[in-house]
Amino acid sequence: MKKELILLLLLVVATGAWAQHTVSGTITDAKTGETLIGATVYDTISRKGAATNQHGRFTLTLKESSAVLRISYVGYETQYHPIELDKNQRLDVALKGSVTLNEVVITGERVQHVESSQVSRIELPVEQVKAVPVIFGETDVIKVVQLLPGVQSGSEGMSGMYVRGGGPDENLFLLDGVPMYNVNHLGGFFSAFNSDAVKNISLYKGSFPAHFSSRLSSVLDITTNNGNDKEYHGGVGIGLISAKFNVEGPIIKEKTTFSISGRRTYGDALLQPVLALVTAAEGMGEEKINAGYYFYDLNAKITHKFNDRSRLYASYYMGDDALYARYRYNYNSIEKDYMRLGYNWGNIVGSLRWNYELTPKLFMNITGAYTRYRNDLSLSEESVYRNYTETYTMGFKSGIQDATVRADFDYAPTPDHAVKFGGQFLHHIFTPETSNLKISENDAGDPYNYDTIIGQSIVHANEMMLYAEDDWRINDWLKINAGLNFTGFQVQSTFYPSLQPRLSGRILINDRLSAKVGYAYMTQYLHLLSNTSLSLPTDLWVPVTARIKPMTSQQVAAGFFYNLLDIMDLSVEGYYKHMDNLLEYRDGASFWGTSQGWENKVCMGRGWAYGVEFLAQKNIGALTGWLGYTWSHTDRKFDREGNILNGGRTFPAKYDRRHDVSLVLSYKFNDHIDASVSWVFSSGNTATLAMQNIDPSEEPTERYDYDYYYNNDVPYVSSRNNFRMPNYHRMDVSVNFHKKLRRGQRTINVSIYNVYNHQNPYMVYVNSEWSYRTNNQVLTLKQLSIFPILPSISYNWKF
Amino acid sequence: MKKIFSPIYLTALLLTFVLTSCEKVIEFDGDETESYMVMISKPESDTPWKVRLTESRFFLYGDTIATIKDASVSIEVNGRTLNSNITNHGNGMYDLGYTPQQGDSLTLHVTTPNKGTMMAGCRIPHKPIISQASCTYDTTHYTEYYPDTVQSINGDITVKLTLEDPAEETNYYMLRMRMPSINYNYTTESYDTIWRYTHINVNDNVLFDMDATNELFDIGSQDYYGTQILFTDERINGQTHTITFNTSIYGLEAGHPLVEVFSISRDRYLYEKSLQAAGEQDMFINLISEPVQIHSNVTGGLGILGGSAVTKIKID
Repeated sequence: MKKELILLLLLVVATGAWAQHTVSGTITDAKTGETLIGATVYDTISRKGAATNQHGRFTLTLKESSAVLRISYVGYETQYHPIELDKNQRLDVALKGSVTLNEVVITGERVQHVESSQVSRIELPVEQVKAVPVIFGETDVIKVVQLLPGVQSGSEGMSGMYVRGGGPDENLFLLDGVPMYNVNHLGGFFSAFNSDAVKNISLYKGSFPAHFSSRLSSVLDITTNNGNDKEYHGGVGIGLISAKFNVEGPIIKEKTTFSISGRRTYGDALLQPVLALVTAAEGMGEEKINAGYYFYDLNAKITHKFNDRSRLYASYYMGDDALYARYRYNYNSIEKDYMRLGYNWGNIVGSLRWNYELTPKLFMNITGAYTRYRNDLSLSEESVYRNYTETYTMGFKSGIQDATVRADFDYAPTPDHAVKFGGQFLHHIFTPETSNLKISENDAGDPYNYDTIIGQSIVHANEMMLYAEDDWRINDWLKINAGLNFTGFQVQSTFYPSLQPRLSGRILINDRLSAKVGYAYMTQYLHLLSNTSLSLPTDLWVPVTARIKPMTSQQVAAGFFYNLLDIMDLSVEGYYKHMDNLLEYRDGASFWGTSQGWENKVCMGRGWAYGVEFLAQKNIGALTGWLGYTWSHTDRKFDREGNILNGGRTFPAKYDRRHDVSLVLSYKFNDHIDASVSWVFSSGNTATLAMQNIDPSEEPTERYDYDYYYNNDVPYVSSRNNFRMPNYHRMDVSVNFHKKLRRGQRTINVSIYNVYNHQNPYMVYVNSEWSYRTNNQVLTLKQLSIFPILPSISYNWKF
Repeated sequence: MKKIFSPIYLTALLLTFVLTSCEKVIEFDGDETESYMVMISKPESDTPWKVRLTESRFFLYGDTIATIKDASVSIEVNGRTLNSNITNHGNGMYDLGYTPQQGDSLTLHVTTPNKGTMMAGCRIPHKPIISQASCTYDTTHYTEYYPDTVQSINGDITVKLTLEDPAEETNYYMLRMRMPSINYNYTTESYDTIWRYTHINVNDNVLFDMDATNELFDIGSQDYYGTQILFTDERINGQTHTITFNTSIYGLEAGHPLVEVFSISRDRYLYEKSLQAAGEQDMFINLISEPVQIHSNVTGGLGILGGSAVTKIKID
């Protein structure tokens, strides 16, 4: 491994000696000063180019003595900058937004789509995310990502993601580069990402660059707004279930900016009058009840620009779900009861990043971060009667904390090489479960106390990572991205090393068409123990152990990328993914709120997934949107000794679906009205159903016709996931009415979820009813749908 | 009026609206509803071999289980087809006219006019070797309500068995205990003795990891508590091991316990384990846990052909 890294570095240094002059700088939005990620810088003379990184920065080293740089970005007016290359140059460019369809805008788009060496990556414009209609009118990043080919949702309305046959815990969610564990609110009906705070969304489904690690199936890389560095802007919004705000602006003009956004549901506030009404109606004057549920999230970011070469970013995210109930009963001065239940779960993510341009060719980013997911349940009760007092307190805690230090370097030694290298150290603290119980009694001065803590001990683990990759333009038609990622995971007394090669390549067939291929080996050291399709706070993250090995995957993806008539990007990709050491729950396994002995409840086995994805995407003009189609197949096989499931036979994965179609269209009629519509279709999810009953008795037993419930019959399951639920399809529409006010702009959004009220299956169950007509028990299999047609309205004001 | 605002009424109303407005019946037809042939046969050494043949029932049909009355049955013993005297009782039960011996390899073929053929095979293991057995009583007798010959008894019985496990292969065991119980027979107006299987509780940290769950299924206490205890020799292979277990008894005493230690085939072990696990799943657990698959070794049908050899010990 060491030899390979040294060779790679030597190669980079050697090639750097040929370089002549370097142009570097930052591309920003002219109006807000926000850095633009993925903007292209292209020299029309040498036909060499580069793209801006996560910090909006580019480096382009050229051998020629002069250059004409074309700077372009989707939705912005392209600029041309002629420069003389007699020395290293700095070029900071501010692009102006454009709503018109013109050639130069399209070029920027095409460069990214066709020329990039990256396969299985999708960029999602935030404005398009905001336009897609979703449930209760609440814009949701993950729900929009679920509409992309290769990404499947779990159950209806859920934010769970299943990417190319992987499980929901195989996705890495990065918020400003920091991993986030629980990305859901309200059991998964809403994601934790507030779209008002988001600047850029990138999804990687395969062919992962070497700087990503630790999950098998996808990386969703979300970057938040830095804040406007010229003037103050903000907005508020009120919807059916939540209210939100965002404010951004300069603290020191063009030097220090801030951006704050927040969101909170107010169902609990609306519940209070109802509870008061109920209490009054029931004549419960002496009793006071207070209960409710809410979630909130808060994003804050401060960016400081020391100079053109140095910036500091401080980001903070805090989001919580809270369920609470309080009950107070004052019968008289000598008899009282008090009960309090609190259930809180959520994340804190904090990071401090420092960008520094060491040389025009070498850029450094140092990150220190802390992330915490916790799940706290507390219940306390106090009873007083004359001189007797009893107090009972119970608590349950679980969670995970990470402290991360990371260093990333971007190095552009020649026009043909864009090198990244760096490393990361991550310390995990797992708190699988801790419960405490405290009882105290005082009977007229005679005290009794009981205090105990039960649970699994805290587990510490260290994860380290080193990587190096080179985006190498070999000639005009061939470009590769080759990298190595080395990770090591140390838990208890076990150390798991893993060397993960990554490779992707692009062949430019002509200016509009390219063929790409990619390979990635990934290793994952964490598992999520979960029992239901709901994302519940009781789901527990646990590390690998001496017995449970890390999960691994190898994925090959290949496809064609085409730009059609400068208005649409088309791609077709095929993939094959083999996964090992996957976990499935044993027959009868349940993790309901406990991780006790979890290693005994799972089996390790193999899985594979393959499919074809088609995407037609239009991000410019009045009509934007995409059409996605996925054909896929995902199987599991658990046939190793002691890990046998389904008799060792192959069975479909839980979210194996043959067809997924999504159509998203947004149309801007004029400055006052825009509308969007989305339609999704997918084959039904699988479920395990005991389709036959057998009588296991060795001898005939006496039975009666009416004795259905008291016989010896046993449900017989022929195979795991043997039943496929009915197909799912749904259409949503949304219309925005904009109006310019004296100060700012107001937008009224009217949206309808499930327009044609299709009853989509959420779960199936056996219903039993007595028929008086036929005088027997009638059994039917019923599907339960949870979301019928749901209209919603929201009001937003921006200044 | 107050009742209308009751939280229970409001919640029920809301749930009724949500659930009834979003329910739909899923229809089945064709092959999905077809039943399978089911064979249940547990041949035991030195005991006449028999089989029960039934049909499985589609889960939405409320009928009783149908028996197979017109099957053509043949058996093979140690690779040779045996022309034994097979008796069809007409209620799904077939006596196969052969008494298996330890070490026999058995194959059973069943053909029906409508459902085709199913077959299964198994081997009869060797009887387990119990070198020692003892029993201690912590019981109280009551005589006030019954004649002198019949006493009421209440308390615990603890049994110790010493098992000699052969080393050459993986062995699967099943432990049961029967207690004689006296019941009043209203027909004959006298007391009858019935040997009932009793719940036993094994306290053995060597055979079972008492803190962990079952390795095959996620069902906890059934490993060491129930009317039949299943275990393998994984932790005691080739060793002499003493198993201690106890049972609580109450009722009318008729005598001393009978302990049955079975050596069973691997398929039989998996089948019994899966039946236990399925039995422990209740409605709530079913919603949040993986369903249990009943193990089968029958080709062309469902069920089990699982051999056993038993050592019975009556303990004084």
